[in-house]
Amino acid sequence: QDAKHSFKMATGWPGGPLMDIGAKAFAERVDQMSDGRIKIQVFPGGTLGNALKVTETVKNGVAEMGHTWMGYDWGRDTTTVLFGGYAGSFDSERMLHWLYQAGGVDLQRQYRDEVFGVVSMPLFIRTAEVFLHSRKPVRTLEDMKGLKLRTAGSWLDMAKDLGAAPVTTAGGDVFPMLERGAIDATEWGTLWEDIAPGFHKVAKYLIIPGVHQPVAPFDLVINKDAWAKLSDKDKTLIETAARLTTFDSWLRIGEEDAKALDVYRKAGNEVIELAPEVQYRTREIADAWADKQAETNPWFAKVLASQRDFERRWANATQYRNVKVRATATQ
Amino acid sequence: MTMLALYMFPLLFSLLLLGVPVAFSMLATATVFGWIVFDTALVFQLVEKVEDVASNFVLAAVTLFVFMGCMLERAGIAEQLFEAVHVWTRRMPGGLALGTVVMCIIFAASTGVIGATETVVGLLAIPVMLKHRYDKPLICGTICAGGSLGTIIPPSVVVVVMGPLANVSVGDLLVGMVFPGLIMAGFYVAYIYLLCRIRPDAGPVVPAEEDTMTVAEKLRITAFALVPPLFMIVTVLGSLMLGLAAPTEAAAIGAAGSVLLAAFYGRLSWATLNGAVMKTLQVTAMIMTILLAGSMMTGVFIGAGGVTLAQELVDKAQLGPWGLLALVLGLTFLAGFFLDWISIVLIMIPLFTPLIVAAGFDAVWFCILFLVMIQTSYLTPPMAPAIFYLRGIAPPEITTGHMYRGVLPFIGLQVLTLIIVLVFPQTVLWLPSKLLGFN
Amino acid sequence: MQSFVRFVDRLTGCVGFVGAWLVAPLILSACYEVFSRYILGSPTIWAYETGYMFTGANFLLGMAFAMRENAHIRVDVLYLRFSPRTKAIVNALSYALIVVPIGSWLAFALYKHGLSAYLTRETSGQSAWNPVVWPFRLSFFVAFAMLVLQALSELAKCLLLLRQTEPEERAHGVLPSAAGRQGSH
Ligand code: NA
Ligand code: NA
Repeated sequence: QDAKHSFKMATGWPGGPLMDIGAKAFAERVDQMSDGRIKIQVFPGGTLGNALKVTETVKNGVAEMGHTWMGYDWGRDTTTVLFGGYAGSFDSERMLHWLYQAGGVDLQRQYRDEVFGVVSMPLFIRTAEVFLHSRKPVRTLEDMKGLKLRTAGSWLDMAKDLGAAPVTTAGGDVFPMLERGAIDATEWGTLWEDIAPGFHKVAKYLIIPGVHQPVAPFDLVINKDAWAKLSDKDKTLIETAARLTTFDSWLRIGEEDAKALDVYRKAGNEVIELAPEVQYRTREIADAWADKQAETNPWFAKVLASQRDFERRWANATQYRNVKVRATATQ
Repeated sequence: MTMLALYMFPLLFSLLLLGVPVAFSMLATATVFGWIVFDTALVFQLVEKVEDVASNFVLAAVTLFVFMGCMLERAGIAEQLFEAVHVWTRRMPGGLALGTVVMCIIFAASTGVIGATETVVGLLAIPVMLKHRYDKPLICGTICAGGSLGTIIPPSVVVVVMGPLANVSVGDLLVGMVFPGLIMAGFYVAYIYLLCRIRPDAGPVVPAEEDTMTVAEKLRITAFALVPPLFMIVTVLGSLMLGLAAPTEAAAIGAAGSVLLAAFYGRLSWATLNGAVMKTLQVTAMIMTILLAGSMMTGVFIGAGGVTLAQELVDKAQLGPWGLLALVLGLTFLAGFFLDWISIVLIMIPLFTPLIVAAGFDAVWFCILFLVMIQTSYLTPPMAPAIFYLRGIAPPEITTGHMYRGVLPFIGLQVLTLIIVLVFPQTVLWLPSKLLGFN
Repeated sequence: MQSFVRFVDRLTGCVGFVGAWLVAPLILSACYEVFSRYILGSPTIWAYETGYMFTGANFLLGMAFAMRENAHIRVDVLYLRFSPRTKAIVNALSYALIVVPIGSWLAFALYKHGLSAYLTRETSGQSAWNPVVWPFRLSFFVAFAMLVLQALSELAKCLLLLRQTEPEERAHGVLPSAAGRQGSH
């Protein structure tokens, strides 16, 4: 009764951690857990279909599976931003708890099914990103004024409210623009992931934390027909493999980020922490944005309500979970 | 399933040989094999490719550079510019071809998109070289090879894709390719000069007794014909270097500049402008339809197991470090025949960089070798995008035979560059270590 | 058949003209973005998206025009040696077996692709401007529909030529553009 399966998986990634400890790690784990019965062949972004439209590629059956970031689909529906993470999200630890313990996974499955016609579950999670690789030091709201920062997605809207002058460009133009100063700063990925593109070699200042993206859960999407062909046991196997891969990615990124900070310091970068006023202000802007979306979008309202309930429940978590230690003790 | 990808090529090559347009040959191959792999879902894949290629912002540089070339050509500015170059280089063997290579370097430094440099310089330089009876194969070789510098002299779109895939800094690659690019351009210059020395009819010089123009006269012609266009070109390059504009935007500034320049010379008419616009459409539609069909075919090739095939080949071969490097570069060369650049990079780099690095080679150095290799492939007949683009802009008296013959010596020079980079990795690695970072 | 050919050729010319002139707003929007970002210190929210849209629509709408002008290039090593009749046969087959069927299939799919974007009011999600995508997708459909029409027109030209030039008199035939020239001129 244990049928063999062979799936194509489209991704949005050319390579890097998302590929190696995300899509590929998942494929290997499924292979291993199924004793080689379920084979998943992973394709780099842009080869099977458009790298930003993996959901469509999977829904249409060009690939049976896909690994994507739900936020890419915000043009279809802004609720995707709540699952993909945005400036109003909680941190990665809380996000994992919301997803796996407070109903997030179920909401995600239901939402993706109803609105996009695919089966969906979390796969891979990012911790807070680097806020900016910048040619100018950025600390305060004053510093943000008129800052030409390159970004994409819904954060463009909110960055304007912070006083910045956000720029949209093609991915290929970002490096030359930053190198020559056509833009002041750009965001990209986490500390670890940003070593490879090398923005830090042409932009001296590394601005943290990523208030625009405190967390980014990624999304495994599966074609409904392909999913229906799996036995219940295999469905559970896929779900377990995805969850394990997600936790592993979280652990790995946590440790690699810590190491990466040293790489930047050794490369001569100056690491700057955003002033609290910028961090608070960003969250306010994001909350206002989310409230506005919720007014007209029932799905957005439903998911937002669930996330806010969770956050209220966890309001005192820092007090009972984190012991205060003098900063000097860890230096 | 794995072998299926291989069967695509007999079909493709048969259609091409029959004379079916390149884009339609690729479209047909993609559809036949895509049907086998994806069944009815194929149509969605093709639709996504249409959207993908049509939404690619950096391709705007091709359109803009082609327009700049057409505008300068229609307004007679291109001819006058190269005539002014000729005034100074008429006594130098192959002077116009040398001027063309210099022009290619300048345009290569202003754009990083494949095809942009070649089409703009080709539109400018071919008519004048023909008029002065330059050897047709030499004209073709100069344009195709000079144009291919566009991706190896920074900026370069290919490298931006390549960096994250190979887990190396885009900056290291962009700076690392400067010397290999200049070495290659240097070879072109030396070759053209020597060829025209040995075979004076290849790039004829004006005999001394006919060169009666005084220096004052030459200066006057230069001031009128050469300085304004050069000023415009420098503005384009400058806007990029000074950080005013992104590479794509610099191309737009150049396009606008060409219209202003035509107005400056009093040659801006509706007929000229509309002529340039319509000619631009023809050339860009031709180039991009090939890109689109190529991307469709690549998608099917990958879906049919082409990647697995390459991987199995390397796994089975069990080679030492240099053998592995040779095999990977050989596969790259072959892939360059029928797949688009970006896809080659997307497939080959993540697949083979780890193996190459494990064999003890430097990743940045490997990436540059890889880049030179696809560039050579891009120039090598019968499936040579460089030649397709040239076909699209060259007058009919230049035949495909001229092109095939013309690119051969330049292919040799690229291989020579490849060998130099192979033997002296410092040509790649030295400059980034000096230029980048904050220490 | 003659009037169909004339009509389609003219229609292709009109669509091509519109597509071709998209290069003007492409240039202007990119230049304005530089001016706005550098001089005014405030980048536009739309220049990136109009940039790729004008570029994409420009070349797509030009595909049929390039076909009319015989500008889609071929590997012509053998082709140049073919007789006009053989050329016409090769072309007729490539239109009838490749461009018309695949093009129609794609045009139909692109129509549905555009329609679903129109019905769901899908937006691009690529910038703060975030425009609806159906107008851009409409150009995909128009482009491929025109490509099919133009291929039918070229097919008709080939058939006319084949009827005119019987094998024995082919050396004397006056050839329409469809079968004759190489390259883009
Ligand atoms: Na370049
Ligand atoms: Na080639």
